Amino acid sequence: MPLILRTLRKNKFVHELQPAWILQDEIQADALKDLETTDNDLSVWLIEEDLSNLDRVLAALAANRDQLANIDFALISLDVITELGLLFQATPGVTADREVSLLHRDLIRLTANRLAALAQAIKRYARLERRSKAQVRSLLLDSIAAGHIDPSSLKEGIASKLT
Amino acid sequence: MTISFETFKPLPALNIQSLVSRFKILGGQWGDQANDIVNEPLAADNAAFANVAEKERPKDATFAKTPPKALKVFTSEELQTLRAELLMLFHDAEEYVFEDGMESDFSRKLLAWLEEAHADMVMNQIILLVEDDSIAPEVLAETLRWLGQMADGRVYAHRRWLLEHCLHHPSVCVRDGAILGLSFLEDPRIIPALERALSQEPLATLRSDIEQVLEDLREILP
Repeated sequence: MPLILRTLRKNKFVHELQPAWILQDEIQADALKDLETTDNDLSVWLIEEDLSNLDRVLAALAANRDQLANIDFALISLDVITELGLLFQATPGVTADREVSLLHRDLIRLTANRLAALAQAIKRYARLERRSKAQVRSLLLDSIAAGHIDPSSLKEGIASKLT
Repeated sequence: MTISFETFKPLPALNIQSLVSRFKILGGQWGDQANDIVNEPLAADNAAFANVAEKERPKDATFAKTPPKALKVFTSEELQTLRAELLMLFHDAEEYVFEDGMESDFSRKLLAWLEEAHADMVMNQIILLVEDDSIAPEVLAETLRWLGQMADGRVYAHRRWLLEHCLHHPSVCVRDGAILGLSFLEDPRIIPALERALSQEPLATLRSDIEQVLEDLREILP
């Protein structure tokens, strides 16, 4: 079963890093800031079950940014998303890597209740990971070397820090 | 206001060492000079990495080429105005949603302040605001990320000191921001500070984040 990737600030979802008054099965409201919707849709990315395309997707997402920085993300099984009753829609994403752009999905028709349920599911079931700035640099260089990303498409804040 | 035994709270203990080290940072030949001798909290770490290749120390190279500039003496009114404007910047930022690697109005304004001719005074005021606990944790965490992300060597010693200092901040969110800000410096001289923080950090998640930064930094050691 494929996985869904959502970029966020992982430490908002890790229980031990949340305020002490947060109960074990709850999540801080601030975490919802990282699940900001547009027209009630939430942008996510499809990842192969064996994670074979994870690095390429992360590189493409990093290439879209203003600065070379860490990238935090959650990986959650599509099973969990389906069990929550959330609906998908394939919508082309905008990245420097055309193939990665095709892996973009929107979770659509989200309500506040569904979004809160998703946040709780991320806290409970997702793999929350961070790639450091140095690791992101390696991912970008690999994608550029493989011809997936055109270096001229990168912003100055990234291009100047790749060497 | 009536102060009774129930409401009276003693002032928090003054961290003399932190104040002493802060004032020593100001003692360079000119305001934003990284001075390894005067800046004692960093001196030991710097000495430990004296053999780090010059290309790995771009910030110091930038300092070396920076000509001394005339020191401006700030009046107390000017300092109060600067403090008030910075407070407003940090207060307004509480409404923002920050995203890693993405600029915001807040980051642009913060960096603009630090590109001013008297960035050292701006950094001093930021440090005082941190000491006063006047910056919301999430905003301070974002500030620390950008202090690490700054491209040039301006106020490097001040920035590095504040980042290392905040590794021990009571707020988890701020410590996370300090770890990331330090990781953006990509400066092996911060290894001892990170190792100290690693030994004192009570939370496994943040220890793991520190270990990742240490691993990255050890890879760029000669």
